[in-house]
Amino acid sequence: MNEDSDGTLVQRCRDGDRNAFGTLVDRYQKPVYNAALRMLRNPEDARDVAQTVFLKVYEHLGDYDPTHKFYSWIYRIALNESINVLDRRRRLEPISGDEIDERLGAEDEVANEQSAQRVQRALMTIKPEYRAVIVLKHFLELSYEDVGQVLQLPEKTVKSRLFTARQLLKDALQASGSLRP
Amino acid sequence: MIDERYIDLVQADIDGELPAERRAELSRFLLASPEARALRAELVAIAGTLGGVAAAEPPADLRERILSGLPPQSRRASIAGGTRFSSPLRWAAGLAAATLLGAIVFQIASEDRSAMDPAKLSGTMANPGAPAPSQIDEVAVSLEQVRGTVTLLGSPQARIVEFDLAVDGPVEITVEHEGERTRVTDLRRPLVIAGPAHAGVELTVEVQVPGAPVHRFELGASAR
Repeated sequence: MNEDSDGTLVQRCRDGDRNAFGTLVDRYQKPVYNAALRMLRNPEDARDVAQTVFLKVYEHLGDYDPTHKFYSWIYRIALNESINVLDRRRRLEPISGDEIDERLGAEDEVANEQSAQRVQRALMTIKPEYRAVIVLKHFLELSYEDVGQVLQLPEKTVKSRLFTARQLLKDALQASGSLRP
Repeated sequence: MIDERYIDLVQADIDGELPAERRAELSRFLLASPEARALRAELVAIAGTLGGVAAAEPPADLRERILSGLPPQSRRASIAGGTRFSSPLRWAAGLAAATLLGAIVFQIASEDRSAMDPAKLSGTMANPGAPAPSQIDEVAVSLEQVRGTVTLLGSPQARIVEFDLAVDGPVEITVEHEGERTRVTDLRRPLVIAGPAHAGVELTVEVQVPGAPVHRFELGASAR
């Protein structure tokens, strides 16, 4: 059976079909949650962000431009919300990155594997704008073009930012012993 | 030091985005440059490490939390199109606009009734039957420090600009209308501009974060 396209579901939502929105949630809750989780590391924050993202999508469906890909829009909201949480964290708790890692590590229910935890820790050491390109490219498996749409950057900038992000991540992974020098 | 265009080639190969017609070029480059081979090995290792991290399953109750947290259906319908004048704030703004314009017209009429065309009075006095403002246009603002929407509503008496913006940090918002500029100091209060809506761009909202370029958003019946 053919699945409805995102555009069709959005139109049905606009027409008041709440079940269509449920289908969009089914389709996107996992990537949105994972994007937030990789940006924030904390599963509870990621859950809250995912919830906020879908609420915002629902409230602003009327603003959605169907000439753009729906997933670019929802991922952009997810990253923006995640960055908002990071900003709030910074304002509320001006503590060092090491302390954040230790505190959140105790609550980390997702990254059970040691190597996954090390990767996540390494991700948290790089700036959010670099982390975002890694998340979009590696975890959400978007093309350069789609990453550019989500981040509203030219493709050339996406490539250079991705390269820098990988170099920074490489240093962090090597420092943690996750990657051989 | 590797030339940037070759870095792009190596990276595109790792990312599965290397066009077939450039594959030979990459192969020649890899053969000729030990640095390029080292870079490729490095990127492969990073990709492999990241690839080893499995996607996390969202909490089992996430779907339910999302759906149960949605606003009622009636609100959704109002957002979808047609009349957007659903929130108490909008009704209040509309009533305020109608009352304000009614008061102005009444004052003018009291001062010089002979100069007032009776036809123009029709519908301008605040009365319960005055038509509710309807949405003319809306723009989404998605900047690093300012996100949300700006909505332009119109009635026969006035245009109303509503700001549904989340602002994170210092930002200056100005509305430019027919050469006049009004700085918005309280985003919770709609801006009321006297007079009926016209075709075309009605006004421009300028958003400026200090140190960043000004972002302009045009609103009007045919702004886009």
